[in-house]
Amino acid sequence: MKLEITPRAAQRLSEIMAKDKNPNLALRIRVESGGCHGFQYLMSLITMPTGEGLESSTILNEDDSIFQYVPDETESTSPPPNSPKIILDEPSLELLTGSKVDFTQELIGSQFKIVDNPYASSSCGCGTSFDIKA
Amino acid sequence: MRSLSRRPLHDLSPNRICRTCNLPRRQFSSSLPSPPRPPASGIAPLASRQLLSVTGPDAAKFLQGIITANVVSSKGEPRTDPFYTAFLNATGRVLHDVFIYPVRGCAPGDSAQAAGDDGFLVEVDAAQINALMKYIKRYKLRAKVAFRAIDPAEISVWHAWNDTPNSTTLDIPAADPSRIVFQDPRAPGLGHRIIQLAGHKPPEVDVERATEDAYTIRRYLHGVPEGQDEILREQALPLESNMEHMNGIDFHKGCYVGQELTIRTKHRGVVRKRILPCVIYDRAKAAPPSLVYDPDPDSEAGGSPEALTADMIPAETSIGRSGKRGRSAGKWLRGVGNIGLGLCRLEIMTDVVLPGEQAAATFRDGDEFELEWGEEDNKSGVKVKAFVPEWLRRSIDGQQR
Repeated sequence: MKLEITPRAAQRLSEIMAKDKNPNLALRIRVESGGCHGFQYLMSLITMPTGEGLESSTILNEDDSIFQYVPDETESTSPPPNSPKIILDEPSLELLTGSKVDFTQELIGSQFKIVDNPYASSSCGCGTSFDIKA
Repeated sequence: MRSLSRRPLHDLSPNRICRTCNLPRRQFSSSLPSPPRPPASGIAPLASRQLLSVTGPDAAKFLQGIITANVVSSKGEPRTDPFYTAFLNATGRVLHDVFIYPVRGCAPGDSAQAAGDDGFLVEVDAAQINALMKYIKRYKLRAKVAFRAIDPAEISVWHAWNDTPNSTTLDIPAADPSRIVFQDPRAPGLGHRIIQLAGHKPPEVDVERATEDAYTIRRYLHGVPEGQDEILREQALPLESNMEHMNGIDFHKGCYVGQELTIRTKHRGVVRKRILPCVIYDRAKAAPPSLVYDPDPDSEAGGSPEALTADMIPAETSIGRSGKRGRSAGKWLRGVGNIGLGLCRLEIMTDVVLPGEQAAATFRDGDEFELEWGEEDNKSGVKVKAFVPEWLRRSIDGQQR
């Protein structure tokens, strides 16, 4: 299971973490049915529970996978302590593995975006909805 | 046509042989006699339709994202009345035409389901139920919904109608919890759907028991296509299948699979082809003046043995203009006796004026159309005439105003 996080997306997440003074901030990406092509991406910012709260928290579930950003140029394989995190649950990860999470800056607006999803066969005009290869 | 008689004898199946005299009943024809005219009022079990239950707390939201109709009423509350709708693919082609019956509490016969869950019964072409099941399972992901194909012995689908001139109402006790009664919204006067929750027991309606053929013939006469033999899977478009005029599409509900093309065609495009009822007739005869079902059109002419019936015409046979070459005027879908349904180019086969166009572009009164099929040296052919049902014409006119 692999997910690529672009430096731009990591940079933007770090900025949000700094602005909110919240080192436990993470980006959750979910795939739901809906939209004009059947599946859509839903993104939200969450605060990861720490310490004692971890056990009883409902924010993270058992089937969640946590991805952390590791810059390409670093030697170490373990991510730096405060590097940005992206959370995916199992069914969503199955439809997203191999994709790239980018932060796009376009005239229409700046946003986190999934690009190059190998499972998507077509997507709608706005890019939030897609169809999977059967 | 004569060359059909060269068929080898062993090609004759037993049902084409008259039992009493052991001779072929219709020497040149390859089909059974056409079914009789439907009774003025009747009730028929529909074996071609089957139900699928969709239950669970997320059922309404789940369906909302993948059907063309709105699961929420105009007042913003969950809909409780049954409705007609379709499942489309992402490119806007029809996968399944369905009826959806909301069921409050737990779905009937679904005792395993937790009480209090919203449920829906989805009525679909019985031959397509596995395809629909597979399709909706793809979209389940984390949604709290459960699907189950329902055995026809458990819950059955019926259709009742009354065309008697003086009283066209049907006396069906609707309040009975053992059934769902619902006026078919696809065309005025088509009749009522009855979902018999108590399985095989026929509904107690005081009309003649008819066969599904009678239902099908009435459906063709009303110009209502149904199932994937008529609304071709992944080919048919919802607007060409008249679904917006049959109350199957909500253009204001928001995103659903296939919405992009559907709404763009509605607002920016022109629907040039539509499914219309057709009459077929002998190439040597004059065009019939009206859309009437005649099980044996040659009977008064001394019983021509080589009558061709609509069920012999292969699906998707191209409709051509008599005596003219050029592009196809449409394609044949399915029929019985002398009637059936075709996907027809409106400006060629009918006098319907398309929006934004001055007059019916090419249609002239008296134009004739043909269907031809079979091997190169053994072709069969009939003439075909399309009719625009009154309800459809009114609905198209209303839209353009």
